[in-house]
Amino acid sequence: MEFLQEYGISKEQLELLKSGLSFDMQKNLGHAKDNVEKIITYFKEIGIDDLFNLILYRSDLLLLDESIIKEKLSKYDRGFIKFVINEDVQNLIIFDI
Amino acid sequence: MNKEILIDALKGELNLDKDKEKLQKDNLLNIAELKDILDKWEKDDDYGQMFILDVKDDDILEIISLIEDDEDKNKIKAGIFYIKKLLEINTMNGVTIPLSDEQISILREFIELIKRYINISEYKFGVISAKNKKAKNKLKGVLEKLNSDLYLNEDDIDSLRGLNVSLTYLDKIITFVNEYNLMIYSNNEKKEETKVRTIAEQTENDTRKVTGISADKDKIFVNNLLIDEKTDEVPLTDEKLKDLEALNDVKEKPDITEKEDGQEKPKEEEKIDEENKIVFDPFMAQSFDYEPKNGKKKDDNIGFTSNTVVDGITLIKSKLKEIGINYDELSSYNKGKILRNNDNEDIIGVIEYLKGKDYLSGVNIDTLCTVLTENNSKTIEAVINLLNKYYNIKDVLVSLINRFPGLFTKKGYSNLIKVIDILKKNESIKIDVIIKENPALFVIDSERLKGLIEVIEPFKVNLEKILTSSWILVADENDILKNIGVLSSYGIDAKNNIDDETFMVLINPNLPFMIDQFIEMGMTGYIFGEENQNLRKIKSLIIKRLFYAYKNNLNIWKNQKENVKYENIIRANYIILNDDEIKALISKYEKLELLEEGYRLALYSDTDVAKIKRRCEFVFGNKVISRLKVYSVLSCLLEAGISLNDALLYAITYNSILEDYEYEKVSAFVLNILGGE
Repeated sequence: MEFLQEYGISKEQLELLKSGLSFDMQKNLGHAKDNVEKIITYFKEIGIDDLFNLILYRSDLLLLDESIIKEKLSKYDRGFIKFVINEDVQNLIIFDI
Repeated sequence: MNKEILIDALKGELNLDKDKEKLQKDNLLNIAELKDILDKWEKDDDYGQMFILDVKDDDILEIISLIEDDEDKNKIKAGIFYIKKLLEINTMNGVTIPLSDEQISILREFIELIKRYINISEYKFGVISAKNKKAKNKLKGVLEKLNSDLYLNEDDIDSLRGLNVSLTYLDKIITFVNEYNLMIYSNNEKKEETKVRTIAEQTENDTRKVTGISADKDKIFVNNLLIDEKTDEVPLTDEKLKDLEALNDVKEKPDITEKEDGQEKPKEEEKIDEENKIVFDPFMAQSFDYEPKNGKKKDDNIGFTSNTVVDGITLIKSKLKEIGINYDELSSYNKGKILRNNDNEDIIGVIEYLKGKDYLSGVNIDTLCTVLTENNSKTIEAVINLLNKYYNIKDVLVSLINRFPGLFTKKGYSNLIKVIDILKKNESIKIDVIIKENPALFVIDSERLKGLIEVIEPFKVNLEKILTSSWILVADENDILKNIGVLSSYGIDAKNNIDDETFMVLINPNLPFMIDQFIEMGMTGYIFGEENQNLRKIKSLIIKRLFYAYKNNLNIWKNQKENVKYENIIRANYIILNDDEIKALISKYEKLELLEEGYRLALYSDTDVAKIKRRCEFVFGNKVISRLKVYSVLSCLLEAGISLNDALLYAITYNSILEDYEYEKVSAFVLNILGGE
């Protein structure tokens, strides 16, 4: 998961991610590096600053197909989605995302 | 510097080589010990555990250092040292704490690492021995040439540059060699002049002798002995040829060592040595894992090992090219993946399988490298066939490979079979729907999935619908169970009231704080008004609260007056107290009786809402505060040693949305409860 540092994840945060995510999920994220990078780039594009919590609490989103995540999030106002994620990314679950 | 001094230096160097060989053989003996340990370990796990106890930490680190990926390296390192500590505790206390499945898996990985370590050590030993032997032979050749007064060519001078001497001394040696070569050259020239002259004189005499012999005999004689008049060539004896070879040495550069070995050296070995890339070329350096399928034993005749490695790698490079991958253009990360692979035949098998597949062009290079290196052709085919059995994956295959390359690996396939078995046990789940909607489910650990399903199954929900939501991957069984308990504390029967649309409410670990906030907003009546609608109303309130906060630029679910120390205590220990626990707390801290008597809602009615309000609410003036929150937070803080005086106000105002005047009012009430202390 070292590649996450290229997206602003600090070494300390990386260690926290390693202890916070299951080993399987870490492996899956590593395997799907290309997809993970695409999704992170998309989240950054819509103004998500808190990538650390996004990865820690919603790593499943990083394994989604880019078109699916875009479709799911496009149902809501971008500013609202940004607010919800930056406040607490776990709030997305209530919207079935 | 003279010839004798140089000869002594060469002899000294050759003796030094013997010491080096001995040292290398000692290392190889250690490898033999490691092999023996592995053999015993594989037969008896206890032996392996004894080995872990005895092996030096530095040796463990040395073996682990083979792992390139820092993440994997740290995991194995931490795991092995933890296991070692555990075994030490077992031994000291005469107890047996069994190793967990994960720890056993770490030990297995460590065994694999030891195997790699052995392979690498043997290979390195082979290469170093080969290089040493060649260098030694070259020095012997130089020694022989010096003894025979033969010309030293460029290769010989290069060999001398490898002598273990100071630069100044080496400079003297090279200067001497130049003078020596000049001397040999001029000596040989003089010798040759003399010889040619002798031959000419002898020929003249011989010619004179044969005059009068028949034409045929004359012809034969001329062909064998006389100077050919047409070419002016001198007929040569073996001795003459040898001398002349010395003169032509510069052009032909004969290698005495090759003659001494009595066999030709494999071209690849020469190539490796000439380029000296065996150590520095990252491709070569990490190819130690390559084990020739013919299982040739490594011995002093090292050439075969290098040849096989080079051949194997060259083959993979060319095979990769066949599917449009230029190895040299790969990132070091991907090169590492390929180089770390233990079985080149597997890679080649996958390449052969993928060749010509129309979906190949859509697969990302990183994921493709994972598929190539953690796979074999049978696995990838088996995964595709298995998925195809349930759903025509043709259209989603590229997306699957790009997102879940791990699914197509050996481990992934094994997990996939287990996951499908688990899903098939529930008739309401269609595998094709899972493949289409949430294939990530196939890459989560089958045991975890089993645990999740066991928690979800008792609810009146459509399991398939829940499992097609991506968030199920991050759902924590403990959070679900804890939230069921929280809802129950607030009088909500989650097991009977939850449905497909509201199940996600249980996933959020912040649910208790959300409910508290709704109570404090005066929403108790709204939530509890209709028994079967509690959860739908909670979900609706959460969404409304989020929109409201967004529109009004407010924080949500967060304490405005946050004390980091207290916050950490609460987050780590927060459990909603039940009635008995609340009673116990009140009886322990008498002042809390004032809180109970003075600030609970004085509403006595038989309606459910009235009962819930009395159970769940305190009222300070016109401000509602969640009673369950207050006691739950208070309990955490008191348990952590915080005094009641410090803890009570914090517990009451925890996560509450209060205007300043409201906070002051609550503070005054608290002061009153505490008796002005």
